[in-house]
Amino acid sequence: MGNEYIPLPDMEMGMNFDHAYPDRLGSICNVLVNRTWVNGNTPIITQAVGFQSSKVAKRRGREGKLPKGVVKIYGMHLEEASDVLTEIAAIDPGCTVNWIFNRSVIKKKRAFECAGDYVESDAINCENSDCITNHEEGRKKYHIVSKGPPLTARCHYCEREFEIVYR
Amino acid sequence: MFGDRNNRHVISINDFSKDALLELISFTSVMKSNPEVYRDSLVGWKAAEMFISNSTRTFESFREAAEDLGAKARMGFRSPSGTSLEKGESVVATGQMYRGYGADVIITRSPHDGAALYLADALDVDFETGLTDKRVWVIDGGTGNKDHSTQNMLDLYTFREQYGKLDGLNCLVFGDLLYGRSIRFVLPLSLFGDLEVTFLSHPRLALADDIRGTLTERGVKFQEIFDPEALPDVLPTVDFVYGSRNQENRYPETAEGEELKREVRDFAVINRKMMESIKPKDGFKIYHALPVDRKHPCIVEHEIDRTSYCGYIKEAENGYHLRKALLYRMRHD
Repeated sequence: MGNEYIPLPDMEMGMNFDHAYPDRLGSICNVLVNRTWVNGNTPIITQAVGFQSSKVAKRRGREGKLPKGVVKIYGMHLEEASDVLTEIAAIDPGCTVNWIFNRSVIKKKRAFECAGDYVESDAINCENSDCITNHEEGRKKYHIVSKGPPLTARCHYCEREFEIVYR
Repeated sequence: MFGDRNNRHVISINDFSKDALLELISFTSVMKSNPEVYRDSLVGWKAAEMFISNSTRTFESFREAAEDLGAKARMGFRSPSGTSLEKGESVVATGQMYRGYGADVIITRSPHDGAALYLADALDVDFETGLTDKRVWVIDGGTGNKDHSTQNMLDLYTFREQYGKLDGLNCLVFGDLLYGRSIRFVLPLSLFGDLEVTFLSHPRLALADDIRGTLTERGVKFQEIFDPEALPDVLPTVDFVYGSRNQENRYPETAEGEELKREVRDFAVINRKMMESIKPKDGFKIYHALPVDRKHPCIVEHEIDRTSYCGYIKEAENGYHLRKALLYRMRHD
């Protein structure tokens, strides 16, 4: 069976995560793919790497341009402070989140600004190695106490407060 | 005491208000003096015990308390040895199984922080239907480094029984203040006012930041000292002493943990000779979440057991009475 090539439509409506660290794209896509979408219809989600970005260079404390990652969601909008955006804010707090409607950017924010006060996530691990969430499989719960960046979370179970440094 | 029928899990001592604690303590006294009246009050109930770390007193006192009130309390284990947990079963799956066998209450102990709350959260949901399920209540029987809510409650009960009050007490808390969860009784005790505490420990086992912060916030007068030679000077000034043995089983399993064990061993010990050399206050008692370690006494020498200063045997007995009262209130409130 050969590769299938699906021509991507122009983005009439959707979301664009721009200036992301390329090494975080897989994690961002995992969060998006694993969430439950309305009516069970997962939208088209694309990821791209290789474009150059001065913002990524600046975030890394470098001059000039460095490769960036881009993730696009077609036909769906995510709400600010939702679990998904909070998880993405934990993974890559500095990436830019664009909401697109009628082919125009109608809202633009940094990911950390979109974090909610509470998140249930598999992508964030409690820093306390003795915390039960590091010994049992299941959803982990966090209260976001500061949006930083980086985000500071308090584990719902062991109450340890820690900065989410994504590796 | 348990106003909310939908939330009767007993997880952290911090979830209990001063009034709720007072009510429980007063009810424990009533129950202790009239055990016959309550003999069949838990008939039809089932209690299960899931102790993922070893226990003697907490395990036995809960089991006896439940059975003496008419409940069935045969389900469970006092250590994971020989259970399916050793084969890799999750704690939540084990809890779900006990729920399926009809447990109304599950008492759990775990070495992991937050384990009781985690289990309670998981058992509040029927995973098959996704619906809320409030069939079973979870009681923390000592989890991680922080929580041992029923130990804290029974300590408060013991102090009130001995001194007739919970306000205006002056105490010395010493030993392992960092890993010892029983010393957290100072937090609920501070709700009653005018508490004065002297903390004495090895510098590497000093008070956890969250306790220090809460006591400061509540305006409690406290001092921290790190000199064991100060013991004979402090003892005559306090109403009671509360010791916490070195919790070696919770130290990191690393070379650093081994070094910590050696360094803090024999830091400060109260013995009969020391007690004979001072004049303690009337009613002075020594409390201690047992056991007293014979090989490496780190709080009191065994000879204190045979003196009038020994309060820890009565304290352990009170665990049975307090836990009886707690189980009764969980069902009947």
